Amino acid sequence: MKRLVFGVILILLILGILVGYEWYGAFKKSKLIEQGIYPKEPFPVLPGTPWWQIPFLTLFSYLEKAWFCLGMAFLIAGAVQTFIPKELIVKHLGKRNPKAYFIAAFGGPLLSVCSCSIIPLFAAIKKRGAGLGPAITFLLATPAINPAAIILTFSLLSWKFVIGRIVLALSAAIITGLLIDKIWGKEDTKEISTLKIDYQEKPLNIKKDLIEWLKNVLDFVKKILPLVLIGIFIIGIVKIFLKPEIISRYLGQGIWQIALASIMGVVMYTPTLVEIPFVKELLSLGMGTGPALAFLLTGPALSLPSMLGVSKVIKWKIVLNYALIMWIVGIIGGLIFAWWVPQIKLI
Amino acid sequence: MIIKILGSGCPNCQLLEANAKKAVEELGLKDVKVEHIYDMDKIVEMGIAFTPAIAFDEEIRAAGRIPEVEEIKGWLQEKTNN
Repeated sequence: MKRLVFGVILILLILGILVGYEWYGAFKKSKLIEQGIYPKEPFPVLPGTPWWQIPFLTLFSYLEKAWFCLGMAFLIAGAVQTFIPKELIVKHLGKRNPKAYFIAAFGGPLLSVCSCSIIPLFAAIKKRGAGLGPAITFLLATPAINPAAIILTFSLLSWKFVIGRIVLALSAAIITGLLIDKIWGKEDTKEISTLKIDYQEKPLNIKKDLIEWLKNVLDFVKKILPLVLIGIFIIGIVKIFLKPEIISRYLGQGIWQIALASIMGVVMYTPTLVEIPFVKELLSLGMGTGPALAFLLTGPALSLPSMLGVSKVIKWKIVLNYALIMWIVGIIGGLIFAWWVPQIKLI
Repeated sequence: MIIKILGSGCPNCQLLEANAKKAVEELGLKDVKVEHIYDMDKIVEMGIAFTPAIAFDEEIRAAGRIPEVEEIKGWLQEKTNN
């Protein structure tokens, strides 16, 4: 237990530093911008900027804005990986009861497993653990609200998006899981057995654990950072071609726009974390808040590679069915968010 | 004896397979084979939830992490001494 407590304190400490820095920093910066000491945008894209410079300026601008937060996000993701025992969460997914849905939704994001180990875990929960419904909930909740994504959303978008993302993504995952279990659950009740998970508590060894933590952080940086950099660079390229008129017509506020944005999220494969700068750019070009949140809900949860992987474990029909339900729930989520936050001012 | 590496073929699983092969080679064990199992059904059948995992025949030694070469060597020595 000591190790877990140590980890939680460490995570809260980093989170505290981050929130303090962001709040104080944003406050100080907006004053400096007002006084004209600090430029509003250090790497501005002006009408006269040569087109080939736009991707580079976009990349620099995001690095300048997000380097601190990105660093903290990696530290936290590493700490979750090191100190939160996965076995403890999955052990509670071993029995078939209504509680399993909540554990799948809230515990899934804490597992912060890489995309290639989601599928085996999904298969294990479905076949030997809590069953099809909670397995679907786990599958949809895990990528949608991982700790690093939440932190970056807070830093680049706003806390309203954080609340919207967490509440709506978790409810969407639970609702979809429950519905799928109602429709298809009877088929697979025959092979109930239990998951063998031995959970041995590791004693706290501060020096060893801190080294392991840094190793995990480095692992995340190596795996995720190149994709994030390339992703933002590509956003910069896309920006050359996007016109505000097009964005506000197809992705402005409205139910059809929300539906379109959530389909876009499925078809477009955005590496983890890149969806956030992408949405930020679109918001500044006139995307509505409803479509923006719908994109954030369905995009990470329903990517084509993950659906392809899942189809090895469950039938294609069920995959298409959960995608359809998640899409509809995503539209409803977008509508709720558009009603709660009709407009947003971005720094 | 067969060392089974269980995983869907992601980089982590490949690394574990390489570690296991290296351990076997360094100890010069000729009658130990390393086999990589990609089939999800078989993996779940064995009751494994976290990949990559390593098993000696049916006995799971580690799951959800990548043991170092030295650690695998330790297990092998312990096995062959008995």
